[in-house]
Amino acid sequence: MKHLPLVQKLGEKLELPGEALGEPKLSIWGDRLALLENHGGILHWSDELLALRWGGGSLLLHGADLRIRAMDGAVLLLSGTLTKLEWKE
Amino acid sequence: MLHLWERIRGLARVELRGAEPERLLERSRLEGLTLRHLESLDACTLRAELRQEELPALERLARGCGFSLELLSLRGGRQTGRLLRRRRVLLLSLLLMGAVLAASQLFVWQFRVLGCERLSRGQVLRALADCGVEAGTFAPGIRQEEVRSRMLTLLPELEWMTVNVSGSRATVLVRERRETPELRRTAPADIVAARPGIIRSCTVLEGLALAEPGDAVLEGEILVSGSVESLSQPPRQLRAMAEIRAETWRELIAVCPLEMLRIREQGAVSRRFSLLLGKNLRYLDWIPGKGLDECVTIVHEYTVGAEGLFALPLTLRVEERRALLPTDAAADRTEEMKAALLRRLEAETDGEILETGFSVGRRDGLLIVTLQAHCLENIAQTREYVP
Repeated sequence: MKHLPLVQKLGEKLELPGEALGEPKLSIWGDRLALLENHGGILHWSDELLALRWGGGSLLLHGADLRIRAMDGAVLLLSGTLTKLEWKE
Repeated sequence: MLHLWERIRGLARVELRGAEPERLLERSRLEGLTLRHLESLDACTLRAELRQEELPALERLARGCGFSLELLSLRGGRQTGRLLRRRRVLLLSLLLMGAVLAASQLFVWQFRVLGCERLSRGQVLRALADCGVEAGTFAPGIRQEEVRSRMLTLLPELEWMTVNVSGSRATVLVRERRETPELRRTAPADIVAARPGIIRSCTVLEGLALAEPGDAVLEGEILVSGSVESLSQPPRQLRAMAEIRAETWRELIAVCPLEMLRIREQGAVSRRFSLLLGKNLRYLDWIPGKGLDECVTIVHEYTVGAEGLFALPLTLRVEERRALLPTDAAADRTEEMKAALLRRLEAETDGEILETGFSVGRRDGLLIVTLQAHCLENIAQTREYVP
């Protein structure tokens, strides 16, 4: 069984939202827009694929005409046509 | 709004070229730079937009990662400032406009009246003008209590009112007085015939019935008496109550002149344009077209401003004069008059309409439409005793 860090355990006990503790969060509007918070960095970006460091693994967003509408230290807003999501350990 | 603020602060669009652009994106993320509208042109080239103040930081990062940075365009910020410095008239006009807009917010230029049912918007606004609140009134000078007291005196139909001023727009909220419901009256009364007819049924709840089914009665004839005889006591006076259904024959007449003036929809229109600056000043005024003798004037007013947000003391008034043409009323008003007579009959009849018929005639330049109706209705009418 995977042991959670102390901060995460405490957060769960206090019922705090995960993003407040720095956990990555993904929100998707239809298949056109995705908001990614607290990701660990961009591994790859092209028109068809965006790969991000995601917690302990990585998150792959496949699609067409993928464009980064905005990004800063914590948030990335992606637009385009999303076709597939993939998590990798 | 946020985007507008960013534009004012100034934006730069850059093209970055180098191996593995993801490295640069990662570094800029860690530096806290905000990049927008990223475009991947090929595996080694990307374009991005960022704040002008963040440009030196990105240049430094690009150098560190071995990227070349090309500035494509600069928008807003200092560029706009420089542009305005060169165009002083434009700058002064913008400042002047801002000042006028700010000053105009202190005066009321637009009115909205809510809650009118029996009173018209015009009546409320005229009374409000008599109280000193009209277009151009200094908004902070409006004394709510004083205006309310005077308005309630001027318009007895009002129960309550208030004026809410938001920017240059005043919203007048009114609540009209409700009619006091009629209480059940107990004064002694007879039931008389409201109109002549032949009685078909009588339902007497109180009083002494003097008529019965099959009787022909005239208007005003007593049908149920409120005076009840007693063998041992003097006559008792009470309020008679009954429903008397009778067959009636009604005749309603509508009259209108045979020749009428109608507003011509198209052609022969004269327009007069006025530009009103503030309350009274008429800045511009001209009348293209010829004046018309027989005409009506329709006024359209267009206030400069954003609906619901603010209004400027600048109004374009278009007075449209349309010719009045004599038309034959018989041709197009007959059906209208028939419909109006039917509506009147339905409103006046407490029962059912069995049969209707119309006759149309012309006499002395008048169009006369007569409605004959056969009805079965309640003709009971309460008539109180006159002391």
